Amino acid sequence: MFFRKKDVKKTKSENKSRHASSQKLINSVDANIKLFQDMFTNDDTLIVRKFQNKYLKAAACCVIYIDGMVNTEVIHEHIIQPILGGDLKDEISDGNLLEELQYKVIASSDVKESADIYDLVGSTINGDTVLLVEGYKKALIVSTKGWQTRPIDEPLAERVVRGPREGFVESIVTNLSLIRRKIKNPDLKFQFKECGMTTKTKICVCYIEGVASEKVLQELMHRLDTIEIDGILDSGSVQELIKDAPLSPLETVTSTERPDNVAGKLLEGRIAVVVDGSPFVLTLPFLFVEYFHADEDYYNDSLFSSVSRAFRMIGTIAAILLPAIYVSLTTFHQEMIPTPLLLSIAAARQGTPFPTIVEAVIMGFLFEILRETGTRMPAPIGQTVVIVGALILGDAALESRFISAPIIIVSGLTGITALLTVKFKSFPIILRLLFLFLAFLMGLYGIIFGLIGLVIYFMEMRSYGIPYLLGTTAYDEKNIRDTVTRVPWWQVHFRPRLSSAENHDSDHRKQR
Amino acid sequence: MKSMKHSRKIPVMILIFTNTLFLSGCWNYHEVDTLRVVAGVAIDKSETGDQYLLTVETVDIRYGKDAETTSNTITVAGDTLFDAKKNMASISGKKLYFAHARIAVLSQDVAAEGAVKAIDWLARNSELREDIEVLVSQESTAKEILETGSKTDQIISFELDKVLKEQKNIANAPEKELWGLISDLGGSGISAVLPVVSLQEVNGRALPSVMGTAVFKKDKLVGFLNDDKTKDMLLIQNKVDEGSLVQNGGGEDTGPKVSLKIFDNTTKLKPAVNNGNVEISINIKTTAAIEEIEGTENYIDEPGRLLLEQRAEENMKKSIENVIKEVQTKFDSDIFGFGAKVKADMPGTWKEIGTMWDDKFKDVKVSVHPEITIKNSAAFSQPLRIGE
Repeated sequence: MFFRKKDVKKTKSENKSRHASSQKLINSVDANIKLFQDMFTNDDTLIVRKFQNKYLKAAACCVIYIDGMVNTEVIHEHIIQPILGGDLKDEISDGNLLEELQYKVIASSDVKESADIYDLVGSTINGDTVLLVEGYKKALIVSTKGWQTRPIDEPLAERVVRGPREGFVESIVTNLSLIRRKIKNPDLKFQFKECGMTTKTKICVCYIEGVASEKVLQELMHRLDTIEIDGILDSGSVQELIKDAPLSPLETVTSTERPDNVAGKLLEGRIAVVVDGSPFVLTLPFLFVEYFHADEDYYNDSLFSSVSRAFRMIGTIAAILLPAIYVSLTTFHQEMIPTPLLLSIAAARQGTPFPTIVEAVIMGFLFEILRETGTRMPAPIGQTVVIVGALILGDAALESRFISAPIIIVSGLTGITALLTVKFKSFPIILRLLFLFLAFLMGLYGIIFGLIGLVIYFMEMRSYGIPYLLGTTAYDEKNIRDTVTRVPWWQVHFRPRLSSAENHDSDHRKQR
Repeated sequence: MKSMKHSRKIPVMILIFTNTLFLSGCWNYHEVDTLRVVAGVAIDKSETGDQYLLTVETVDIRYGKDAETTSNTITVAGDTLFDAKKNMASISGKKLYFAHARIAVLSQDVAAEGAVKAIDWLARNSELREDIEVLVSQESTAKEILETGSKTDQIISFELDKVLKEQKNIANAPEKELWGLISDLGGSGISAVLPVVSLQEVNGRALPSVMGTAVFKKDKLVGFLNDDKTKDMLLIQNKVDEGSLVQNGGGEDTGPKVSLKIFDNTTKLKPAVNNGNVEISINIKTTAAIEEIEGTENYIDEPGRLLLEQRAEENMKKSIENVIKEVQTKFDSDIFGFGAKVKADMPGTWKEIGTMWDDKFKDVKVSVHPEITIKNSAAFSQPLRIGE
C-alpha cells in the first residue's frame, strides 16, 4: 500500500555513538555532575545547584535542570526547600535515602527513579529536574515542566460566527486536554509516538476505540513508524509524510485548528494525529466531500447549511471551469452564446491585442499574484495592495484596451468563487490551467475530456484504503445525510460512517 | 507496484489524448472579433435569371465609449448560393458567421421557381441553424427588406424574428422555421405555407411588416392569403393561442362593432369517408372575452351575450368555409393538412386514396362547427352609458 524511498540517514547512528562512553551513574554527586556537564558542553542553559540538609549531612543533593524549561518556583518550594530546611533526621531512618526522599519529602505529583543517563538527559531537556543524591547510583526525575505558552485563542484561519471559539495551541498536552474535554469517554485513546531523529517531537494518535477502523489505525501506525526525518516543526510535514497520493494537489489527510472539529471527526470513526508544537491537528481518512463542509454547518440551521454546501460545490465547479468555458465558447462555439451577448463580447474585444486564451492566462496569474501578495503582506498593507492592484490596474487595463472587459469579469468571478472553499489551496489553480489548455485546444470537447479524466482520477484515489468519493457516487438515503446536504440533527440516528470501519451501529445516543 | 501501474498508464493516457486531437472535428479556433455576425439572409434571382443574388445583413460593431451595433448589407451574385457565399469572402474582410442568422427571406420568383433549390443550402450548411425563420417577400426583391435596416438603425432581421415569434398571439401570419418548412415539404397530405413580409409606409419610412400567408403547392409558390384569411387558416390548423375577432353585434352587418379577444382556442379535425368521398368536420372551441363595444348596447347580460356568441359563430363558420373554398378552387393545395389528418386517423383509407389526394382535395366536403364561449367583459361589467 504505502511506498516511499527510505533515505537511510546516518545521523541516527552518529547521535548515539557520540556519547557511547560512560553510560552509567556512579555513586558520587560530583562525578555525576561532571557526566551531565560533559553531555551539555557549550550549553549554558544547564543549571546545577548543590545543597545539603542542615541536620542530616548524608543528604547531600544536587538539582539539575535547564533554564527556561522549568517552573523554578516548583523546584524551589517543593524540592530544595523541603530537603534544605526540614529536619530530615526525624523523618528518615537509615534505610534507602533516595526512596525516603521520594516518599516523604519531595512534594511533586510525578517523581520517577532512573539510573539511565539517556533517560535523565532526555527528561532534563523536556523540562524535568534531575535530583542527584550523594552515594546513590540512581537519580530522581521530578516533573517540573513549566514554560511559556500561548493562551487558548480563537483560531485565525477557521473563524466561525456560531460555534465554540477555542482553538488548539502549540502545547500537545493542552491540545489533548481540549479534545478530552469534548469527549469524556474512556474509549477515547491517546497513543504517543516520537518522530524526528533530532527534534524528538512528540506525536499523539487519538481515536475512539470501537468506532475507529482497526485497519486504518494499523496503517497509520505503520506509516508513522516508517517516518525517517531529522526534524518535525509542524504537523504539515507529518501530513505530507503520511498522506496517500503524495503528488496530488488534493488532500488525503486534513488539518484543523478547532477541537470541536476534531471531536466531530473522532466520533465519525476518523483518527486524529496531534503533533507537539503545532496548533494544527491532522485528521484522517479525508474524503472529497469534506472539502465542502464547514464547522459551522453543524451548528447552524440544517437548511441553511445544506444550501451553503450547494453553493460551495457550485463555486468550486465555477472556479475550475469558468475561464475554460468562456474561452471555448468565445473561440469555438460562438453559436452557443445568445446573440446579444455575442455582440457585446465582440464589441468588448474589438481592438484588444491578445487572443482570448492569453488574456485568460494573464488574468488568472494576475489574480493569483494579487491573492498571494495580499496574504503575505502585513494586514494593513495587504489591503492596499489588493485595492490598488484590483481596482486601478483592472480599470486602467480596460480603459487602455489592453484586456477585454468580459475576461476581467470571468477571472474576478473565478477568483472569488475559488475562495469559497479555502481548504482547496492549489487544486483549483492547477485544474483551471489544465482546463484552459484543453479548452484552447479542443473547446468544450476538450473540457469534457478533462472532466472524464478527472472522474477517473477521483475514482482511483484512496485515503487510507477508503474510496475518495465515498458517499457521493451513488444516491443513497444514508449517503446524502451528511455529504451534499446536512440533515437536521433529529434525523441523524447514526453518525455518518466510513464503510471500512467495522463498527457501524454507532448510535450516538446509545453509545457505551 | 503502484508506481509501475502508473508508469504504464501515463503513456497510454497521452496516446489517447493526442489521438483525440487528430480524430475530433473541432478545430476552428477563431476569436469573436474576427467574425462578422450575419443576422439574416435574403435570396433573389439575378435579372438575367441564371444566377442567385445572396444578400446578408451583417451586424457591425462600432466601438468607442459605448459599443454600437449597426446594420449593413452585402449582396453578391453566384451560380449557386454557396458560390455566392464564397464570392462574398472577397468583399467582406472578416469571416462571415452564419450561426446567429435569424431569418431567411425568399423573393417571389425564387419561391415560384421552387423553394427546395433555395433552402437546401440553408439547411445543409453546418453553421446556419435549423430554427431560422423563413419568409417570402411580397416586394419585387427580397433584399430590399433587409436593406431597410441601415435606414432605420435597427438590425431588421432581429426585429422581424421578434415579430414572427409573437405571431402565436396575433395570428396575422403563420410562423415557420426552416425545419418545419422542410418537414411540411416532405410530408404527405400537407402543403407548406410561409409568412409574407412586405414594406409599409410608417411615419414616412418604409418598414417591413409581416402579414399574410404565402401558399405553396409542392415547393412552388402559388399565391397569397391576406391577414384575415390567414387567421381563419391558423384557426383550422389549431395554431391560434390568442387573437381577436371583430363582430357586428346586430344581425346582418348592422349594430355596433364588438371586438372579442380570443383567450384559448382548440380545433379538432374529424375525417370521415362517405361513399368514397372524404368529409372533414371541423370543431372549433373558442373561449373569448369582450374587449371593446362600440356602443351602449348590452352584450354582457345573458340574452345579449348569447346573441353575440351566435353571431360570432355564424361569422366564423362563414369565413372559414370561404377560405377553404378559395384554397380548394384557387390554389388546390392542402395547406390545412386535411390529408395528413386522414393519414393519421384512418391509415387504411389513406392507403387507398393517398396517391390520389391531389385530385381528391378539391372535392373534400367540409363542415364547420364553431363553439364560442364568452367568459367575461374585461374590466367593466356593463356597457358605457350616455346620460339623458
